[in-house]
Amino acid sequence: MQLGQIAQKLEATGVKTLGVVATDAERARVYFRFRRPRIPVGADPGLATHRAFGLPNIGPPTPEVGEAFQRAAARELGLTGPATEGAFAQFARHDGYDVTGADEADAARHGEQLVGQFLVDREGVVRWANVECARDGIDGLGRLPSEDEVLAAARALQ
Amino acid sequence: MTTNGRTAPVAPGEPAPDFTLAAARGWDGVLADSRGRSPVLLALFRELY
Repeated sequence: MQLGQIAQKLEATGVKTLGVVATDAERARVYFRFRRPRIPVGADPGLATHRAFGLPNIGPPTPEVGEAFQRAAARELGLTGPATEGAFAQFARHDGYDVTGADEADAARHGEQLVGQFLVDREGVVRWANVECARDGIDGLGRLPSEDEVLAAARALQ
Repeated sequence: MTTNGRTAPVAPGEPAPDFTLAAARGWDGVLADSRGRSPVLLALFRELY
């Protein structure tokens, strides 16, 4: 699932999509000036939103987590085969972006923060949720739910 | 592993927490404002992506 693509389909069902990035707002504005997001985005450098929604933080990076990120990046890049070393750096550069010291500082400050998606109805009640790694363990890093699943959840609100 | 003060992530059927964020692009950042208007898919990211 590509979030920007599904956001358009969700809009047709009356659902807006909002993103929360975990970095400084000014830095995010500069980034998105050059890489315009398809959805509105808010900035939360301190992960307050992640904490409020109870998204797990699995602590300091471990070799196992690092390898899982490499596999996730390889998957995003469409690379096949067992050799995924370097895939994460390749993924970070695939749109011409070079990882900066600010990226590394964010990553060091946040540890291995898991992410998630929450569908909230017009009364403010969560009706569907996906928490990274909840279904697939560590191999769920970077894995998003299917477009069909998200659209089905959105249609169920109607 | 911690869940940042909660024992588990917010699950379907529970109220979504209120929060306010600095707008990075195109959003006033107040989830509560969306209540009574339209449902929202909230996507939380690591760093910038």
